[in-house]
Amino acid sequence: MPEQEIICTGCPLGCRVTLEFGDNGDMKSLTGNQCKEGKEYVTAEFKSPVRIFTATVLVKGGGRLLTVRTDKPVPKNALKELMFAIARVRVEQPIKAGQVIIPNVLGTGANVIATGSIPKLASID
Amino acid sequence: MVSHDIDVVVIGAGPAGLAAAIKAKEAGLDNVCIIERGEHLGGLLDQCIHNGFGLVYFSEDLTGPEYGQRFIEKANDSGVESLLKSMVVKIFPDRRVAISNEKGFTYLSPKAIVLAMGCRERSREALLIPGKRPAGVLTAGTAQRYVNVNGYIPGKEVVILGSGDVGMIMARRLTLEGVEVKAVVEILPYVGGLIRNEVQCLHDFDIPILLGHTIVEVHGSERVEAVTIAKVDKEWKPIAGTERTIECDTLLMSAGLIPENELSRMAGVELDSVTGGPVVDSSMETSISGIFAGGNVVHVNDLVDNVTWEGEAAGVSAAAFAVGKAPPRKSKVHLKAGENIRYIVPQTVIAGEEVNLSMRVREPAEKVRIKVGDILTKGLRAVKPSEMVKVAISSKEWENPNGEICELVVSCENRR
Amino acid sequence: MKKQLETQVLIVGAGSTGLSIARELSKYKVDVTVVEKNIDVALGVVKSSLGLIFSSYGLANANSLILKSSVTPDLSPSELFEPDTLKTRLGREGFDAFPALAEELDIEFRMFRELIIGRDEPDFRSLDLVEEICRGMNVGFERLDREGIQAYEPHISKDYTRGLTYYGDEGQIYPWEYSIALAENARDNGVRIMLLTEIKGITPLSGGFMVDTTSGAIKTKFIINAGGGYADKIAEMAEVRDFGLLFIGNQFHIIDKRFGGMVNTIVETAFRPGVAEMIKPTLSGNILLAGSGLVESKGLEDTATKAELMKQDLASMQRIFPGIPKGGIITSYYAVSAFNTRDPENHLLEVSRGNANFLNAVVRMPGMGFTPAMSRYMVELLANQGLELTTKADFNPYRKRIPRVSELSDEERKGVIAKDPRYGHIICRCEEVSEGEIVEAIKRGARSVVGVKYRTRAGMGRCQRGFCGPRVLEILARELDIPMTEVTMKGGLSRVLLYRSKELLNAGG
Repeated sequence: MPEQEIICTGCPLGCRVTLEFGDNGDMKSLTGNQCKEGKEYVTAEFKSPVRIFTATVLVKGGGRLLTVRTDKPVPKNALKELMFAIARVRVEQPIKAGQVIIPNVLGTGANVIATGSIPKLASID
Repeated sequence: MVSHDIDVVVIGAGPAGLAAAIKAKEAGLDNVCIIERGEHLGGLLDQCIHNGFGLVYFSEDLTGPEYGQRFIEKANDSGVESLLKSMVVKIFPDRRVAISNEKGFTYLSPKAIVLAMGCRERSREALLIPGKRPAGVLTAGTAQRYVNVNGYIPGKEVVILGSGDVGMIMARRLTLEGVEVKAVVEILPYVGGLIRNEVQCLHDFDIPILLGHTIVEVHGSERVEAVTIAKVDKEWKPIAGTERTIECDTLLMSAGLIPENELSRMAGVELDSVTGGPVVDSSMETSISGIFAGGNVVHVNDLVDNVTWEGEAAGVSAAAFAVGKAPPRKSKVHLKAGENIRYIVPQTVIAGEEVNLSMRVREPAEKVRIKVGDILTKGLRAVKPSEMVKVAISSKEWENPNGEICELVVSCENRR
Repeated sequence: MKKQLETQVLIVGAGSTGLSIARELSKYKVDVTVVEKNIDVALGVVKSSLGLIFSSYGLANANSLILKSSVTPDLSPSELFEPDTLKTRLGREGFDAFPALAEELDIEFRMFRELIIGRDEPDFRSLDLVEEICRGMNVGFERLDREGIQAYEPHISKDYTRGLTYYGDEGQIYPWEYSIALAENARDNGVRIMLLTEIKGITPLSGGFMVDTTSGAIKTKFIINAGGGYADKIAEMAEVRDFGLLFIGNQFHIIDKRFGGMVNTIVETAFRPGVAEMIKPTLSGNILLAGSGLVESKGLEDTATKAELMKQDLASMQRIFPGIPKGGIITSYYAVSAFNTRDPENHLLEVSRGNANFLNAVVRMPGMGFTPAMSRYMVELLANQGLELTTKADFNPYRKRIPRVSELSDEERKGVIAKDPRYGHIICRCEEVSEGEIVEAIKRGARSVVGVKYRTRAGMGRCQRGFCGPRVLEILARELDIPMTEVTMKGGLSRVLLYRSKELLNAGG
């Protein structure tokens, strides 16, 4: 049966948990965890590994960067595509923290939002 | 304009300083002023654009700038004053400080000071790594500033020395900017930072982690061209014959953080040779009356949430001191690092008082028992040097039939 | 077509040798041009000089022992003590002239006592040799026992039981500050200094040369070869090469100024062939360790620090000053000293035998202290070769340093900030250097991170540019009006930042 090892990040133990799964991807068994929370984490990580994506975006007029994040976790395997998508964006000043920069980015259901703000007429330095 | 009738001066506007200043102001003081050498409040939070901040303090997963913004707003709302682009260049045991900024060179005489200068990074030069001095060798935090604040990428083929959190975070960040991170080289047999970072920064991107290795030479005259790595033995000495060269144009150093205590030394504050920071008591007061400290200047923390709590404790104490309401100093109980404990902060506590201890172990271990003298035992599933251990002592635990305690040995033992 | 410049004296190399000659010449109505291939002055051999201005015994020691020990191990006092050679004469004259020169150029200059220490029989024999030399030179000295040594240096290991100190303190300067000050003053007095100018070819003409450089052609009557580690190649280009260069390398370490109070004198362990250990206080309050064997090196490109020497140097440091921890070292470097192969004991200060208009100023160590006298000597040689020297009435010998806010009194500091607020904005935390100083350094010619470093000390501290690095880059980019990706550490390919954000991601299209 195919196997996958996932490291649980719930506590400093960092248990290496081995999951066995069937041909259609459904989880059959799980060994190596030492607690219930670990099992929940690893199961979720196996079924749908997601991450919060954070990055910077270029601002028109140069000089400053806008820091952004996804407001929800996105699939882990979308990160690389996301980084390319972000690279093509140029935002206009001013920007408020929390403002949506890209709604429903790459159809993930998550928005890319600003985590910092750029006031109008930011000086270029 | 800053009044010269200052109650509390806080040196540094990072998370520790902001927390201290807010608490001091909330205690009702008139003049609380943060002196910050950068152009904004927030310290390094500005450049830490990744998430993982506030998981405990706010029960939210925030990015550095978002976490900082919460405190910046609170500081502004509560009337904390600040001097930006201002550096404290002199500090005296009587708490006078000399500040240099574009407006001039001024002395302030606050009633209390909170040291919150944070820490700096260990350089390649301090590690005595042989080679010439090509461009392209930077510390991970400096690279982080270039990438996230200035908008520049140091190079496109990077090797990172050290698997501390800053290095791992930058491994991911650079990868997401199109850089090839060829390896993270770590001298210890385990990763130096949080497991979460090991997984989400290195495993997620298939970045090779070379444990038990170090860099023995940097190549290149004008610009980095390659590094030579080697395996190390039990004494961390390179093993001849195991050398391998990795071509790269950039070497990032993530080989340790050092609390930045030039000012503390200048003031004559007693430093702990293990933490590199001031010796503090449970009120975060240093060896000099009226000078308090909190955050990474005291010891390198793992989570910003802990930095905030330490800053708050220092701020509360500084405020009490400033209005003459400092609790009478009872005799201190010294904490001594015992088995598998590297250090404990605070270094002294007051018998009978509630206190939160922060400590780090020397070696990873599983199924352990943290013992604080005879008064407290806490079982833990696992401990690692990179993850700080916190132990709370309540007033109940102090009830001791054996009379006065002057010293407590804190140890981390294996459970039977 | 490239512009052609005409000059009377072309000086090759902007180290302390070439610049000292340039400044001396600038006292006369002579058209002088200095060409330097690097992005700044003082980036060749001079930048790793110890900056010691020797007198008496120190001069004899540096003149003789060091080289002889590496190249020819036999020693006897008569071979070591050379009272009437040109180099000794010029050395003494230079030393006497230095205090006044340091004042004119407004550079740091302080005197330090030297202590030579020993702990075993070979050391003691070496100390006896030193004593003999001092007697022969009529230099006063004092033999010390353990207590005597401890009185000078309470932190020295008690294993050192015999020593010697001689009367005649040595001077110390920052070699790069001296060179930069010479350049500024020479420029003020009309000397043309062309940086990033490399010589591609030299064609002898009748009564001079046509020199092809990366900045165009230069026609000159005289050439002064102060090319340092490239002097042999310069001579070759002019078809007058009759010497080669041999290089001796040494490894150095700077120790945190936190420990500066532990060393008061220039401490040298008693001489042994091939080893010259020195630990001394620097002008900045740091400690400098010059350890290790002196070994022959391939050339100027050999600047890599070496692992095996690290071990040796740490052992030296811990043997001599056990209280200085290994973690006290904040930076290390490896540097070479050049000696000419025709007459390695001496400098080549001469009119070339192959061409009456080509003069060699091929200087060996010690090559700093004698520069005031050496430059006068070279100018005399030029006069003998037909250069007309008419004194300039308006020669200005004075040059003012960039104000260092960390060294000013509170009142002076306030005044400087009031005139220019940037002097209040501290950029380098470790060395307390302000933005005003950095901007002034750029105005005075700094075009790179090292240029700023050598003019202000920004970046020389314990954090090694960890904090000030990005800020210095921002200021350089702003003042030079170039993108941050164009700023270099030291010119050439040493750009600090290679790409702009998203440049790599968007590279595909």
